[in-house]
Amino acid sequence: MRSVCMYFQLHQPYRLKWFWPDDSKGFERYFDVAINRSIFEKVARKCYLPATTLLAELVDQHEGNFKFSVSITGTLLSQCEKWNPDVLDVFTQLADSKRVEFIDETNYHSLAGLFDDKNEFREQIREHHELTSDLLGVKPQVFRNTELLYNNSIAETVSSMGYKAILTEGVDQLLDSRSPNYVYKAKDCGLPVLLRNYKMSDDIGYRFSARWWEEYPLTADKWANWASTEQGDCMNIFMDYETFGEHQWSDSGIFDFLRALPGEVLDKGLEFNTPSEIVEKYEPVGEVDVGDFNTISWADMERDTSAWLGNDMQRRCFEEAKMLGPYVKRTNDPKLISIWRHLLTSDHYYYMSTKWLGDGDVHSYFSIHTSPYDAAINFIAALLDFKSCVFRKLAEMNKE
Amino acid sequence: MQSVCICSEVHLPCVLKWYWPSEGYRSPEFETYFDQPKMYSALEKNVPEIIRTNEALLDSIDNGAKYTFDISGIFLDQCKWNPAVIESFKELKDRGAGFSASPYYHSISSLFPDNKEFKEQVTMHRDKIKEIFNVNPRTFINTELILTKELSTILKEMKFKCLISEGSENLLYGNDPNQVYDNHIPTLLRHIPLSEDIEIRFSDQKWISYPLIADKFASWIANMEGDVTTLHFKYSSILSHQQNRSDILQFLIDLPASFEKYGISMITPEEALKNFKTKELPSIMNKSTSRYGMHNLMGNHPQHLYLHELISIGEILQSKKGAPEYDKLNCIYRYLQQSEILLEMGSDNQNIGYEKAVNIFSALSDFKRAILEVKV
Repeated sequence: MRSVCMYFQLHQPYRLKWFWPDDSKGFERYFDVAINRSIFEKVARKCYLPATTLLAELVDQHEGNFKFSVSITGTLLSQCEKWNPDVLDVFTQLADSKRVEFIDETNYHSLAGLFDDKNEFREQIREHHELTSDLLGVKPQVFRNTELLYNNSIAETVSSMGYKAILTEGVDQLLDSRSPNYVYKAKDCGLPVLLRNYKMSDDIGYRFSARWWEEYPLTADKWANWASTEQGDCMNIFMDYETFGEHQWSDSGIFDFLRALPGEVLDKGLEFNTPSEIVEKYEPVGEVDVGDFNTISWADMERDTSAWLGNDMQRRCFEEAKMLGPYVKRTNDPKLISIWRHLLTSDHYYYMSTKWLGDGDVHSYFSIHTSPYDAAINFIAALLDFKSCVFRKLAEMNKE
Repeated sequence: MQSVCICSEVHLPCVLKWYWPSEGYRSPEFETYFDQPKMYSALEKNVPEIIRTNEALLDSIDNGAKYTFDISGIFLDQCKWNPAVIESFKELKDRGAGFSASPYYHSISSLFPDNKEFKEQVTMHRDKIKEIFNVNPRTFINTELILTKELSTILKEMKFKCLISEGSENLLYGNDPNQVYDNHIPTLLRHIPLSEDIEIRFSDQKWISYPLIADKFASWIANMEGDVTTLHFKYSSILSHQQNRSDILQFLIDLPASFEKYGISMITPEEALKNFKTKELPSIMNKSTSRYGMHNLMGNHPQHLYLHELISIGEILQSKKGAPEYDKLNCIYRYLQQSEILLEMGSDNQNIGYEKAVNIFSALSDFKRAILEVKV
């Protein structure tokens, strides 16, 4: 192994409130400001502030040898602006270091990439690009889709927008005994694809504090040793930023692990590279072909779309939201359009998942609802109400 | 016990489709939301059993029985495909069966804050019964036996003489259902266990009283206190007992003679009012109830939301009265008020109820969209 390529995703959704059609108006009619704010503040305290401060220190300390990449969704950036600009400051600090590569995604962490018509997807990506550039002063050149959702037409769209590379999951069936530790290219469009090494990523993100794991406790030295013995050009370690302090609490020793990691990796003769550097440095060794009906992602054991569109309630809600799109846009009302886009955020659909075995617990961990059924009925009730707002508005416009 | 009053609800629920939004926003037709072929075949399949049941009921009447039927407007409308069914109910009428009134669409409109919609549906039903059977119903049986605070006041204004509701625990508080109770109009309350012996347990071989014969049933009633036992069951349960090969028809034929043996007379609701003095039941004026109580009809969040949306859609519809498609939309609106739609979402239905609720909300949201698009 020559390079380690780390990428962290940062996201907070705007969760829906327990909807009842009362007199409130606009965004707050549907979204729960108090709950979203309190979750944001908790995660900021436990993860965003300490982890970012530590990473900035590590970047300084290793004088350019420690690099990584992040993407921050538009929904999270807007929460930082509103509720705690200090968090935005530490992110800006990372951006100013020039050692951290910022990556684009849809502004709303949405499922728009799954629409047949990719225009909405494009608009949301552009929106994210502008916001990242306005707030953090960076212009991302690499793309990762929501939850690493990937298929050939997503790659094609991203490639046509001029991105240099795309990140996705190193799904076994896709690799078909090939190694994820090389650069690949997308079928037809040829966009370079970086595939997540899920084994090595989950050792940190998922198993770090698992006492049932035979490798517990994991040390930076041990992990770096494994990395150095792997075959290939680059190892893609992608994970939730919340691994640091939120999924793995501070008392699990995760911050000590992180503090030691860059030194240990560098000591083993490996280097850190960001996604752009990786695709400049290494040539693709093969092609990845993911048909639109076999879309992959990094979620659950299935690593497909079933975490969001696995049951009837999820598909129904998604279809309803999707169909409303052209009508919402016809209103030309930025507030309505913004609400609609926030309804496309993948998290709403994730909460409705009924896959209780194996990884269902992860779904419930993230949800503020007591059951996926509550989440579904709440979403459809809010959508019913929102849909009538849209059609009321259109009826008024017709009168004028 | 001196007497028994038997009522039966004849209804065919109008089933909502497994509505699928991806087919796009459509013109709001009855068939967009409801499964007409399924209803047609449900009735068609049951026609021979309905005819056979009504023949047995004729024998039962000839033996001295009295029955009151609450036939929903939805059922009567479906019978246009099968006039023989209507004819067989007409024969029952000619031999002395009575008919009661209810909201035409088997709706929960009595729960709306404005009682206009409810009154219209009741009037519609009363007119329909008059038109088909040439009788003017004096007794009212609400959908799912719902009782609300205002109900008997409204019914009094509408000149009804008698109301039949549920003898639920939350209404009776240990009082006995076997009385004519005082309200704005006299009220009979369903005897739940005995009604369910016929409606639910009759063909249950594991039931300790299986097989139930008329003599046994009459002896139970003979040992009870009170003036009148009101039995109310779904007509469709008689059909399903036959499918379970239970001899429910013989039971009904034998019932009058067995009652007579124990000195019990079979009476109509109007006769019950004539024969017995009304008693006080303090909670009747301020409690709501329905079949088994309100919880399965209005017990959970989706049900509350659904009712709220129905009310809001009704208001929008009022503003579209001049539109050419108004009548069609109003008719769909009324079908959407069927109690079965709410029962389906009930928590008794566990998670399936919520999955169905998502489907129902999806259909309702399309209907609301269509109404908002109507130009006046």
